[in-house]
Amino acid sequence: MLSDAFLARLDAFALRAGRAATGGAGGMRRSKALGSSAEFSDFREYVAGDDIRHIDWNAFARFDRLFLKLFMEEKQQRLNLILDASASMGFGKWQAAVQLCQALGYVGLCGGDSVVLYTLSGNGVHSSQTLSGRYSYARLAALVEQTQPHGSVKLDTVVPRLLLPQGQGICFLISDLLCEDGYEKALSSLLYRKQEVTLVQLWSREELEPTMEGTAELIDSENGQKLTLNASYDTLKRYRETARTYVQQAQRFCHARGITHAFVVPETAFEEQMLRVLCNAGLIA
Amino acid sequence: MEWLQPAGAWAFIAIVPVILLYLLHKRVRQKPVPSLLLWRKTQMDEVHSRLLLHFRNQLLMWLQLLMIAVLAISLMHPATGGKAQQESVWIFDLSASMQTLDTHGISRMRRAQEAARKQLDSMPVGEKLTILTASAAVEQPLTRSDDRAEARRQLSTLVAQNGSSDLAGALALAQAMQRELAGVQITVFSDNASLSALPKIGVVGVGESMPNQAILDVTVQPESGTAFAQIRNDGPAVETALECHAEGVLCDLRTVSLEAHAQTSVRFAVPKGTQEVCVRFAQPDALQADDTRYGLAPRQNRHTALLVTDGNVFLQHALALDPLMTVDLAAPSDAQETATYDLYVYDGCLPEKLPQSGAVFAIDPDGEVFGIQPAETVSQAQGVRAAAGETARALCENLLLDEIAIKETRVLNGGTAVLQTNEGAVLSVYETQTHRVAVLGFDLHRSNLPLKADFPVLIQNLLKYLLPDSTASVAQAACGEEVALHADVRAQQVWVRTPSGKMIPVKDGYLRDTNEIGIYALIEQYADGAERETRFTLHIPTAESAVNEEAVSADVQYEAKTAYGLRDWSTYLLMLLFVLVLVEWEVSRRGT
Repeated sequence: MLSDAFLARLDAFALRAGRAATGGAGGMRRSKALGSSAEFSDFREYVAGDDIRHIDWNAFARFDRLFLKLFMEEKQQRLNLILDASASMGFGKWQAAVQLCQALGYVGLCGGDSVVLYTLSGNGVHSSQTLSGRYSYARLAALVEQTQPHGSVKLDTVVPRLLLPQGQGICFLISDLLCEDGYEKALSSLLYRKQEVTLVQLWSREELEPTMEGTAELIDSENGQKLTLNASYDTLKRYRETARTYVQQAQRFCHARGITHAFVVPETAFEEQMLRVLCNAGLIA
Repeated sequence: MEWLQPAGAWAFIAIVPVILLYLLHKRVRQKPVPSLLLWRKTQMDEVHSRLLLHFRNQLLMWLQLLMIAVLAISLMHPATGGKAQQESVWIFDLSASMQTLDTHGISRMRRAQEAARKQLDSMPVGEKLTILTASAAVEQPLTRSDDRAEARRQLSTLVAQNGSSDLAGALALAQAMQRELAGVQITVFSDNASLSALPKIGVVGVGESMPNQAILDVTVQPESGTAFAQIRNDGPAVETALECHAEGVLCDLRTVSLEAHAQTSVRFAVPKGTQEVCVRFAQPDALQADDTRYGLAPRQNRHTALLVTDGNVFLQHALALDPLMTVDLAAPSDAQETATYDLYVYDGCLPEKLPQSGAVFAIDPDGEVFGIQPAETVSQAQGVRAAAGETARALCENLLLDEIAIKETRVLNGGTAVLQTNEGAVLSVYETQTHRVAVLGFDLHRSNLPLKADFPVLIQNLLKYLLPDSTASVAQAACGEEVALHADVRAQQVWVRTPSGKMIPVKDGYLRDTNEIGIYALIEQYADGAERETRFTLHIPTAESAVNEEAVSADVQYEAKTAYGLRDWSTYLLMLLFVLVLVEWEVSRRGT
């Protein structure tokens, strides 16, 4: 659970969405529809049937023509938080994933967006109810806290089958992308479903730079498979190169498709780090 | 390639525990990981064989094994090259004076060993060393060896003996090597003060000037119950106590005031009839080997003689002058006597078969006697005189040989002439393995010799020769010397019992194991089982007691030190080992 002080700091931030919100109930997010908000958008000449309350009388005095002031319509945005809860997420990064999920949800809820949480684990897919309003944060936080990493998750299979609401939305996928079957289809399916996708790739320091020596028998946390190897200096060096390449591939894939990619290696004081990462990645402002 | 210290190969044993440690402690550790995805994508060393698991790519282990191998090889001191070798010959004086203790209680021998070890430590690698020891005989315990461990071992075994040292013989041997081999340096470790003047010979003088009192001689007079000891003081005036033991029992104690560098006699009262006396200083001094001396009562060996004659009063009385001699008479017809005598005297006759043992004195024989052949007869022989030679001089001792007339004699061929005329030898002696023989070429009744005072003297001299005291030659002998023992030829077995009780068989008439100080016993065993025991004493040479003169060291500057030893690679190997240690540390630091 995020601290109250940190939540107070998050109040000053809002989710940044590249596309205007469409559909949904009225909210605090600007939409392409012109509405009755206080924010000015444009002028146009008056035609019959327009609301005379929006006529700019000052312009009529200067130009002797009737102009109508147009205002932005503010609508509610859908925020989909997809949390990878496979067993591999339990190695030094689960707490960070939970906090990240809570922070994004809190910012979304405070911004008037509706939030849906999807947790993907070996037990299947669990989705929350649509949450909205600041008061729903406690529920969201509890849902995330109750989730425990377990089993293996095939992103390419599970994510395309998620029951996302119709229309555009903001989608955050929080995962380590350590899936045998890949993650590309999952991300592509989200794009196809008009989601503004952000991938937060979480890795622990041990995954990036493992420390071991001598002969070791590695056990896969998700499927229990074993691999005996001689953890020589060269082997570890090659592993680090492989890991960096894997991350770069994910970055290139996301960049090519307009997906925001944030690679996070959690540190001890993760709240500060999280704030810095989300700002730098342009996810919140 | 040579190995200067092959014993260093024992260090290879360290390889075994290293391998065992890796076998026992390098077990496979299980480590859960989030996913094997990235590990599988990595081109890595996957291990399939558990047997090779412990060794393959264990860089640390191979480095450590290599370090052990390099260390072991460096300890073995591998050496290459080497052309002309520098050589050293060390001569150690093992005389009795090397037992002298200095003011710190350390013997001169130990000082010499310490000095030698220091020189050995600084000796260039590859230099060959020969060690000669000079005691009564010269020995060579180490010959041209560059094995330093062996040299140290030989040094540690050196012990000062109780005799004198044949330094001249050792120096002659060393100088012979110096002449034959290039670059030989001779160093003498000795307390002998006269060595420093020797040319081309280095001297390591050991020991400091020490005062010393020595017992030079002990005599016993059993009839009067008296013993005398002769004492010499090499040092300042001192008062010392002397103990006298008779037959192992303390019987007298005297306190003697000794003048500086003076000699004196001390008289002790011992029980009458005492045969063995031991005199010793109550308090030991610098040289303890001369603080005790043994004395024995004069020997009284009885002899038997068979005189075969038709009647010769002169000869009979001359033989009987020795109170320890028992003379039996026999007629020529009984010349073939079967009884065993020490001496057979044949006067004008010879038996058909000469006796198998015992001495023979033949007078005017008519045939050959053990190699001495009577030749032509000479009448009116004049000018009887002693022949040349040591034997003749000893046998003619105290003889006047004045106006001796011989009516008729036969010239003798063979043997050693003792008395001779102008025509040839008239008295000859000869010694075989089993007999001592004397032959007189004329009939005593046909000369005036029996009427002369020379006759009994000549007969006694002949008896001394024919019946020698078996230990007579021991009287002047000292420890370390080769002692000649004239054992009875009739004895079937002869031993010498040393003071420590060791029985040494005497085969060629010489006793060589004479390092012990004390009372020896010559034991002669005869065919009938009877034994005769003759005792004698051996002590350190009196010259060894003079230890108040300090030896001087002398260094020798050799002209050409052009010899080069072997190149020892151990230093370079140790440097390599250091590099390996650094590499091993780096590998260990960053992990395998």
